[in-house]
Amino acid sequence: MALSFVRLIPEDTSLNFIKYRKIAFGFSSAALIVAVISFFMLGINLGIDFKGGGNIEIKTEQAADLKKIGSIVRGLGLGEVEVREFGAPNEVLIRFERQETTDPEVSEERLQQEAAHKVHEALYEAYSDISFSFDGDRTATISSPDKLDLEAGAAVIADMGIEGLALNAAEDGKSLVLTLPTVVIDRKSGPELQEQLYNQVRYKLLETYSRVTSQRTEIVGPKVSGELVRSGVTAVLGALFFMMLYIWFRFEWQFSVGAVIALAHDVTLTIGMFALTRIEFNLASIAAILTIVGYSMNDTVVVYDRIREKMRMYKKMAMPDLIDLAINKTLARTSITSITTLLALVPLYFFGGEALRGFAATMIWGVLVGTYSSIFIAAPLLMLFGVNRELIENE
Amino acid sequence: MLHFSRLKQIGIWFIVVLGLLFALPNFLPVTVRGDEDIAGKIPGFLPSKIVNLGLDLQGGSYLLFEVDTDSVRTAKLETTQEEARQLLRSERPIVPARNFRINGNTVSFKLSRPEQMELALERLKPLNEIPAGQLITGNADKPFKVSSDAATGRISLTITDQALSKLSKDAVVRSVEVIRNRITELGTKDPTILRQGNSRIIVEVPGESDPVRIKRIIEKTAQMTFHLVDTSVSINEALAGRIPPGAKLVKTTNPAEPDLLVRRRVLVDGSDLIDAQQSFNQSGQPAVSFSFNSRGSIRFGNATAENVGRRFAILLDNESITAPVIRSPILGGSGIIDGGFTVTAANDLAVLLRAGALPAKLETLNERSVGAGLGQESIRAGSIALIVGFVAVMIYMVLVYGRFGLIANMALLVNLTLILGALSGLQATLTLPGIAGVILTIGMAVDANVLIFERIREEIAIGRSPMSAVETGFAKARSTILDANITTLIAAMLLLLFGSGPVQGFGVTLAIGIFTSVFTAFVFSRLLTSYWLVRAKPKTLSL
Repeated sequence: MALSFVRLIPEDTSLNFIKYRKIAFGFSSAALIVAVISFFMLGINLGIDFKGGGNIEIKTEQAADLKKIGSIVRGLGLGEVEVREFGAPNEVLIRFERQETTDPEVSEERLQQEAAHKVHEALYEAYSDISFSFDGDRTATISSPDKLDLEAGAAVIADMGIEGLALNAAEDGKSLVLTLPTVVIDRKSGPELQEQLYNQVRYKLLETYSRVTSQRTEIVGPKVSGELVRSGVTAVLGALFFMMLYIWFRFEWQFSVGAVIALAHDVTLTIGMFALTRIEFNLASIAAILTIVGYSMNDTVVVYDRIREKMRMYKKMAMPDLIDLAINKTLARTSITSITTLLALVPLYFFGGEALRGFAATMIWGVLVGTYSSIFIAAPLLMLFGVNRELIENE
Repeated sequence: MLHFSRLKQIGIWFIVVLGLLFALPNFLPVTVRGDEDIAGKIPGFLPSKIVNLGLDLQGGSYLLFEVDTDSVRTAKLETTQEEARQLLRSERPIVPARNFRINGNTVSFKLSRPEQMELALERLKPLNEIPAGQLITGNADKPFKVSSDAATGRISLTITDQALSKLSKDAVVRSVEVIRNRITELGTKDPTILRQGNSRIIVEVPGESDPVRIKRIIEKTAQMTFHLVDTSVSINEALAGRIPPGAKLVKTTNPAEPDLLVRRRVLVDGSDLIDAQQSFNQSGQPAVSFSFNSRGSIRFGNATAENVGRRFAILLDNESITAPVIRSPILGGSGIIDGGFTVTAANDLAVLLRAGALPAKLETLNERSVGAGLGQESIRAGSIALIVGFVAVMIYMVLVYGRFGLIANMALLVNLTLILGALSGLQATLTLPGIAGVILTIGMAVDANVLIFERIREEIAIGRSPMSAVETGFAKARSTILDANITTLIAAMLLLLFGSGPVQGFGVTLAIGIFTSVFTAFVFSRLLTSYWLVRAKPKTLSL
C-alpha cells in the first residue's frame, strides 16, 4: 500500500511537561477563576428542565418575524420570555419561564400548562386571517378574506367527537358557519358553558387555519424541575465518586486524587463555558458533563497506566523524567483519539439539528479540556502528592 | 494473543452474524415489512423487531401525572370517622361521643361518659379488622393504632404508616388501571402507562401530538358515591351553617335545584360497579343503567332495605346527580341513574363509570409532545451527522494507520451493526440524545484500536518482528483498554440511573456502545489482524 501515513506527533517526542507544569497550573488556575467568577456573576442559562416553564417550537411558512412573535408573546404577561430562531429561519423557539402564584388554591403545575395554551392560541390567531363572531349561544360565523378549506375544518370538528357540533359553508359562499349544541353538563347549561365549548372549538379551528404549526411543546412544572436538579447533581457527584473509587482500587490514592482534581477542573471549566456562552443548560447538558467526565477520565487513565508501567520498568528513574516519558509515549494516542472524537462531534454540531447543537458544542469543549487536563494537570499533579514507589513496584 | 482456536473463531463470527441478523430488519423497507406474503416467507426464528423509536423521534405525547394520595387519606379518615360514629350508636346502650376531629393521620373524639370506655373500644373493633385476604398473605398489621385515655374519655384512631402506604399504593395501582381503560376507549394505538415511584404515573401515547384530549379524559375523576340524604335539619338551617355532625352540603348538578344535605358516610361507591350503559328510563329520557358486583349488590341491597322511604343521593365527583326516594329494597344489584341527561352526557357518564373512577385526583407535572414531522426531521439530521462523522473517522484512520486503519474501520462498521442489533434485540428505546450517543461512540470506539496500534508502533520501534510486535501490542494495551472503558461505563450507568426521559436514551446507547466497542476493537479486529498476518506473512509492518 503506497500511502504516506500522517504522523501527527513525531515518533519519539521528548517534551518537558513537568518542567513547565507551573505554567500549566497557573494557566488553569486563571481559567478556573474566570469560570467561577462568570458563574457567580452571570449565572448559567438554565433551561426549563431545571427552572420550570415551557418550550414551544413552532414553524412558520415563510421566514419568521421574530420581533412580531416576541411582541405577541410578551403581551400575554407571562413574565420573561425568550424568542429565538431555532435551526432554520422559519423555525422559532419560544421559552417562557416558570409561572408562579402565591395563591395556594391555584395549582402551579396547571399554570404552566395554561401559559403554553395561551402562547399557542395567540400565535395561531396572529398567523391567520380568520375572524370569528359568536352569538353567545349556538352559532358562530367564521370569515376570512380567502376561501377557507371547509373539509379541513370539518375533519377537526368531527375528530372532537362532540354530538351536535357542525361546520358548514355559509350562504355567501365564503364564510363558514359553526353550529354548537346546547351544552348540558349533567344538568347545567347556560352561556358560560356555551362560551367554554366555543373557545375549545375556536382554538382547534385557529390551529387548523393558521399558518404556524406547533412542532414541539415541553412543559415542566415546579415539582419535576426541582427533582431534575437534584438528580442531575447526584449523577455528576456520583460519577466523580465512583471513578475516584475505581482509580483508587486500580492504582494508589495519589492517582485517584489527581484524577478527581483533574475532573473537577474539567467540570468547572465546562460550567464556566456555559456561563460565558449562554448555551442553554438542560438535561442534555448533564449528559454531556457526565460524558466529559468519562472521557477525561479515560484519557487520564491511559496516561496513569503508562506512568505505573514505567515505574515498574525503570526503578531508578526520577519521578519527573518518568512522568514526562509516560506522557510523551501516550501523546500520539491521546491526540489521535481526541481527533477522531472531534471528527464525529463536529458533524454533529453542524448537521445534527438544533436540538443537539448545544450538546455537541459542550462535548467539543469537553474533549479539548479533558485532553488538556489529562496531560497538563492530572499527570503533573502526581508530583505534588509523591507516589509511594515501593507499593507500586511490589504490586 | 493472535492464536484463535477454531471454536473461538466460530464464537466471534457467531456474535457478528447475530448482530447483523438483529440489525437487518431495520433495513427492510416498510412495504416489505408490512407485506404479509413476504413477511410470511421469512422463517420465524429470524429476528423481526426493529428499533423502538422514542417519542421525540416518532412524534407523540408524554405526560407525567401525580396521584393526589393526600385526598385518599382524607377520604379514608372521613369514612372512618363516620363509621366510628355509627358503630357507637349501633346498639343499646348508645355510647354518645362528641368533638369528632380529623387531625393529620388521626381521627379523635371524646366520649360523653368516660366510664363507657371499655364498651366503646369493644364496639370500635370492626374498624380495625383486617380484610380477609390479607391474613392469608401474612400481612397482619392492623390499619389503626388505637389509643384511649380513660380519665378524659378521649379515643384516637391513628392510621398506621403501613396502612397509609398501602392505601396510596392501591390508589396509584388502581389509577393506572383506570387510565389504561380510558385511553383504550379513546382508541389510541400502543399507549404505554407505567407507574413510577410511589405516586407517579407516566402516560406515553405515540402519534398523538395533542395531549389536551388525553389530559381531558384522564383528569376526570368520575368518583361515584351513594349517600343517604340527611333530613335531621331543614336545608335552610343547613345553609345557615347548622350542619349536623356527620353530614355535608353538596351542590346539585342542576343549578335550579338547591344544595343537598347528605350523610358523609359512603353507602356504596363506584369501585363496585361492573357495568354502566347509556339507556333510557320509563318515560324515554336518556339515563345510565348500572350494575354492581356481588359485594356492591349486597351493600346496596342492605342499605336500601334499611332505608326504605328515605332519599339517597348519587354523587359524581361530589356533586349530586340525582336523589331519588327508595321505594323498595333494590336487591338485584342493578339500577338506573336518571339525571335529566342528553344522550351524549349519558353516554359520556357511562364511559367514565365503565372505565372506573380514579381513586384520587391527578395532576400533570410534566408534559412533552412532539409532532411527527419534527421527529422525521431529527432522524434525518442525526443520520447525516452520523454518516459524515463515520466517513471522516474512517478516512482519518486509513491516513494514520494504513492497512491497520482498514482493519479498525471494518471493526467500526461491525460495531455500528452490533449497536443497531442490540438496540433492536433488547428493544431499548432510541431517542434523539441516543443518536448523539451513537455518534459519540463512533469517535471514541476507535480509541481502543489507537491504543493497540500505538503500542505496536512502539514495539516495532524497539526492533520486534511484525508477529511479535502485534502480539505484544495487543497484550499490553488490554488492561488500559479495560480501565478506560470502565470509567466511561460508570458515567453511562449513572446516566441510566439518574437520567430522565430522552437523556436516559443517551445512557443506553453509550453503555451498549462501550460493550460493542470493546468487542469489536479488541476481539474482532484482533481476529482480522491474525488472518492477515497468517496469510501475508509481512517482513515489515508499515504502520
